[in-house]
Amino acid sequence: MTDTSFVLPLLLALPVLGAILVMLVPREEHGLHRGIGLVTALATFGVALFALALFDGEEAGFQLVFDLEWIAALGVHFKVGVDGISIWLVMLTAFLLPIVLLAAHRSVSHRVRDFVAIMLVLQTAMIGAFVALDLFLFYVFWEVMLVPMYLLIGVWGGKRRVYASIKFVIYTVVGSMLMLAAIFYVYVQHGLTTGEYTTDLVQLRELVLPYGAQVWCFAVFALAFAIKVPLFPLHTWLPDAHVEAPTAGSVILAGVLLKLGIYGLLRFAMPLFPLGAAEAAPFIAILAVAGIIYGALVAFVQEDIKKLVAYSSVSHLGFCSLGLFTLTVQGVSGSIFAMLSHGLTTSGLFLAIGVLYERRHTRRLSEFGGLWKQMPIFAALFLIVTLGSAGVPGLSGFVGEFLTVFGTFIAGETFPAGWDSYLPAPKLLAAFAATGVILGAVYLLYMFQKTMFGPLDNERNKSLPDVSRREITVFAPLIAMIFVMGIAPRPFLQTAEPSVDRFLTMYESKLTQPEAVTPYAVEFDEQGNAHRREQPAAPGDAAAERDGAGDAEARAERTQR
Amino acid sequence: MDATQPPIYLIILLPLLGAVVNLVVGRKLSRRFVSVVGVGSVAASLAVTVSIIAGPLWAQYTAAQAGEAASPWLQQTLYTWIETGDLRIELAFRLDTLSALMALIVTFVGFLIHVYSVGYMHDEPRYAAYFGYLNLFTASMLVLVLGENLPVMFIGWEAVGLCSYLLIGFWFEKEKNADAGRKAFVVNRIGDFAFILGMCLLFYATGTLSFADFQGPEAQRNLLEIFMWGEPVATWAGILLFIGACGKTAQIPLYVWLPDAMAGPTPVSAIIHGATMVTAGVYMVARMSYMYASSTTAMAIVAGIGAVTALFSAIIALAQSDLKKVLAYSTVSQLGFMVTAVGVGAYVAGIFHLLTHAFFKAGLFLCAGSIIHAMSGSGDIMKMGGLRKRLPLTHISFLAFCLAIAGIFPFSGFFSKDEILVGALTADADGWWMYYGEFLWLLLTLAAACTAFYIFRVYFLVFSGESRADAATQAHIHESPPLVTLPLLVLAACTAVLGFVGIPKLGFLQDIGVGNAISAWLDSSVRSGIVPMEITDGGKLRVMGLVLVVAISAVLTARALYARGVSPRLEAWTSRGPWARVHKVVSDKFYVDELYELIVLRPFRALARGLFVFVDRFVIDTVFVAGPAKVVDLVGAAVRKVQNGQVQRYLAAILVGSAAIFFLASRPAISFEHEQVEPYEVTFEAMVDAGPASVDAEIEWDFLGDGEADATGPEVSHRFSRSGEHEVTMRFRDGVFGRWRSVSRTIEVAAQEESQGAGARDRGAERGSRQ
Repeated sequence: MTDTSFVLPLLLALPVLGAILVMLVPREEHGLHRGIGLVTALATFGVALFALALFDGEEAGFQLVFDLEWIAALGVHFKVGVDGISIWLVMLTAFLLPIVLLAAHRSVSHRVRDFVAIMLVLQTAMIGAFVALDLFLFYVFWEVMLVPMYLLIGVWGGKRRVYASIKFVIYTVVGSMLMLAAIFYVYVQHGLTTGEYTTDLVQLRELVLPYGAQVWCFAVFALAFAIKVPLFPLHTWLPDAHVEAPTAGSVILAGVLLKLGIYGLLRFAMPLFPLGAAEAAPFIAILAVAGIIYGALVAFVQEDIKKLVAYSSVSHLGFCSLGLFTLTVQGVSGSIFAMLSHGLTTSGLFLAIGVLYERRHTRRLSEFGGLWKQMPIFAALFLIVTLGSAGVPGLSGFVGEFLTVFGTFIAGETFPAGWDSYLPAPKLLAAFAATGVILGAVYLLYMFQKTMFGPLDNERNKSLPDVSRREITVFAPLIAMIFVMGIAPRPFLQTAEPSVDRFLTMYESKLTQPEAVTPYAVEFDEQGNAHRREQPAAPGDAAAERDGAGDAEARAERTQR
Repeated sequence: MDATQPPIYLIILLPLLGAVVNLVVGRKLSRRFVSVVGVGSVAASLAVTVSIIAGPLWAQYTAAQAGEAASPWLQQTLYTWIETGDLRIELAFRLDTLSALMALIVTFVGFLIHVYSVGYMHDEPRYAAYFGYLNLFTASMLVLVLGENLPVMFIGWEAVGLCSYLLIGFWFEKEKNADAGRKAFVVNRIGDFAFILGMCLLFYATGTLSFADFQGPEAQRNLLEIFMWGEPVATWAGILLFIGACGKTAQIPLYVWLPDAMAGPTPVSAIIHGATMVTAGVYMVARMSYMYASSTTAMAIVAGIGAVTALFSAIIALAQSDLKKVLAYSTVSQLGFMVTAVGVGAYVAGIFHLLTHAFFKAGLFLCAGSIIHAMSGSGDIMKMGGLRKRLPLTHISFLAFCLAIAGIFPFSGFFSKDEILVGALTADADGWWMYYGEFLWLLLTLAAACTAFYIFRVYFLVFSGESRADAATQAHIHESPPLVTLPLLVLAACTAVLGFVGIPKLGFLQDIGVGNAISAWLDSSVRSGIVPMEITDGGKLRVMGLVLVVAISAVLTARALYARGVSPRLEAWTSRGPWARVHKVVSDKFYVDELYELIVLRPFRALARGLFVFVDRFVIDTVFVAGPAKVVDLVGAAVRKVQNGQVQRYLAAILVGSAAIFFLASRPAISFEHEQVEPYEVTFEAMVDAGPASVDAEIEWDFLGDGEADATGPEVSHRFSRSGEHEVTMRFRDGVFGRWRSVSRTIEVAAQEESQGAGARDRGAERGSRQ
């Protein structure tokens, strides 16, 4: 443990401390609540920047690791750390929260204290989920996140908030319950095989589970994460949740929470169960592409702007899932970059919708039109985030989409498992995914035209004020980052690359490693007491001993199929 | 970035800075300042371009010609844009003879259009935004032209699409204009989609996207590898990139956005049709000539699409009554000429025509702006006439442009069009159909005839005869201010003389030292994969003469029919009888837009709506989400008390439930095997599944059925006192929960030794190893 290990715990503690402080302030002091919230969020962002400064971009492994024994009896640790992938997601989270709190200045006017406190707790939970290196700890953060989000939709939401929040909770809980069972299974298997019961991810991912177990466990993990992503056809909770959530909730939901699904697949599901992932990769890729096209098509027919953007998230997250399962450097990097970019552009879109909603209390496209004349500055801001989302080169959206399509196109060349059985498919999938480029332009420009262009013929729109100074402040950092990520994407990609490489080489090497052997009969000593086998043979030897050649062949056959 | 390199990036940066200033703070600045920034930045860019070409590039070029420098181009790398894995994309620019010529066209014609705009847009309330977009447009096109690799070119490629979106829909209060802008962007995006895939394929096959590398032997080898259906990479990449070009360069079937694009301000049409955007596809094919050289199939497709487009849209232009619409279809047609040229490997001819067309088409649109301005905003040529006297300067320049586009000697279009026709006629490549080159030539010659006819139809309808406008409009007719007419005259002067940079390569002329300057200039930057057939001076002259005769006859026909308004005989033809129907089909543009509406747009909307209503709302939400919820609801009626909406209870339930799952998952299955080893003597072996509970477990055996433990341990043997059936019970105490569980079985004990148990044991072992 190095002397920098305090950074991440500080990052996790700050928002919670802020939340406690907010709760101590009397209920009526709204200004003070907001002030404390904003200062805390900014301080957290400062700490995150500090962490980024300490982070060594050349290094592939986990850094700034903090490890503390938590539940000794179960081998559970409070272990956190970041690598080149999670550091950016932490940055994104820390970056968005001050913006969200500032944006909620007018839209949230009741129960401000609770709102600020909940947002801060949510912040800790999200960052926690990104930095957790212990499976159990991750699960705790993962579940804790659910509660503030549920409250956010349920308390500050729209008319159908109860339906939306319950749908959100049920969808998510169904996935995470099954995942919990799989976590237990992995825990027990690891304990039996190595004699050490632990939930430490770094140790757990050394274990190569038997093929069947990998497939099932992966399926269960993938279900939980796919619901969160959301992968088509598990997406229907998302539009409802978005429409009912307040702007702040939507931004956090689209900006950060959805990324946890992709991140979970990348960090947990795929490294733990690579054989399962290899089996599932083509299917998930197909679902991802279906989601790209489906989300875009359905977005096009929405009358509610927020729903339109929600479905656009389904489409964009399809790119993220696709990139991940191409198992190429470009695809995975593209997926990560697309996540970051989507975090910026979609947040921008939701904030823009928030601006419109605060003024007109409607989100129906037909209520707007010709607003450019009335709100030129807003129109310019809205246009930039729209184009960023549509993937115009020079803005952030393009790089992720391009790399994903590129990675898909070359998939199957670099990795032997899974894809090669569908060899013409990667190119076909890339072609289908690339239609997202066309469809993105179709629905986003449709949205923009219906709100900003055309005659300004609705009387109620003729007196709308343009964006205020505060609102410009909200948009400015987002737009600056959309440009920065589009013009100079290399630092982001380069920092993530060692970790991506490591992810891929580990994945690849685990595909060819022999499966672990678990003693399935109990051994007994002379007195008749049962014991776990004292010294388990090294996994490789045992596999060879048992039916080595046949087994290896069977696996080779599987991967070629 | 190498400091000794000339600052190529400045060519782009200057208009880009102009755009930033005008877009960000322009609203607060005076018009004069905005104009100075807008025009000045392009003028400065032009100056930088000229100085770099005249200085360093010329030096490099001559050095390379003399064999002293490795490459005849300049290159500048700013920084690495994208890098991941082996994919490395530099933000680099390349100035060679081809891109230098393009940059000159863009900055020079662009500069004139900027000047014109100062006069033309003087009443526009969003003046600064207009100039900002215009500057951005110029900068984007320069990125496209100067980019050293396909992705950098693609930045400009998409950015010009974006600028066209903003400028075509500039007067967005009218829904129609906004629609046109959106259509332009979306149709371009269809092309861009293919362009992206083309880039993927090229990198996949060759490992590079840099133009310089495509010239290398390694990439050339890789391009020839078979990719699909017996065709090499070059063919497929060529087709994909060309689909991209079809979008930008408005070729069949993606030309539909360009005629609508005249919804923008007229100078915008001029800059789209003349200086920027539409020439991008032609330029791209020329830029990638080293790849297209590897695939005659791709070239045949390029050339075929170009020639068909040239004729098809020239026919449409014959029957349009809107001035700008005629010009728009004329552009599509002229672009078809250029695309055919690059398709048959006559790159020099294609770029030459691009050059001459940039001048005369920009000029035609600027004249159209002046005319429409004079006619109080109407572009209906049927309501014009007699403008020769009223708009003398506009008239004289318009006439020059018309002569050029019709291909009348010695105006520039004559030379460039002739080169293309010769190129098509002499083209022949492996694997092409017989007479394919001749067929292309025929199509183009017909298109050239149509061109001369429709443009002089417009000329006579607008300028000669009597005015057909109403009195109010007539009273308002006036020549435009000098800022508007000056660029016209400059363009007209250029159009008159520009052709002489491309004097045909005729033996007797070369003997006296008159060569084709543009060919000599461009040869180092392109490579034709098609060696043209030999053609004699006489043959060339005959081609020239033929097309000149055809053009002049078309002009004379137009004069006969339109010199005094539409002639009565023509009127009769087009209003009644079989010709009326043909005329209607042509003037309705062959119903292509309607066809698209029917086979693309409507199904698309129906599909999108159907997916939402049926799949999202019904299948997923009703059947799969609400359906189980209904079932749960019924069950829930029984346990309503638990469902009190308190999250902490749910979390408690989560914990309890997880514990239960853990418990069940960790409960090992128990059983035992037995084998009779001797008469009355049977051995027993406990079979216990893995799981935490099997650690430190205890096992007891009861052979007598009395409930007492007769033996302990996993493997025991027992000697029974009699043969026959016995009830044997194994009891198991797990190590975690300490609970006893038992399994009983009746076994048959024989007086003689039997081997019945062996099979069972084998099966058990087998089961174990599978897990």
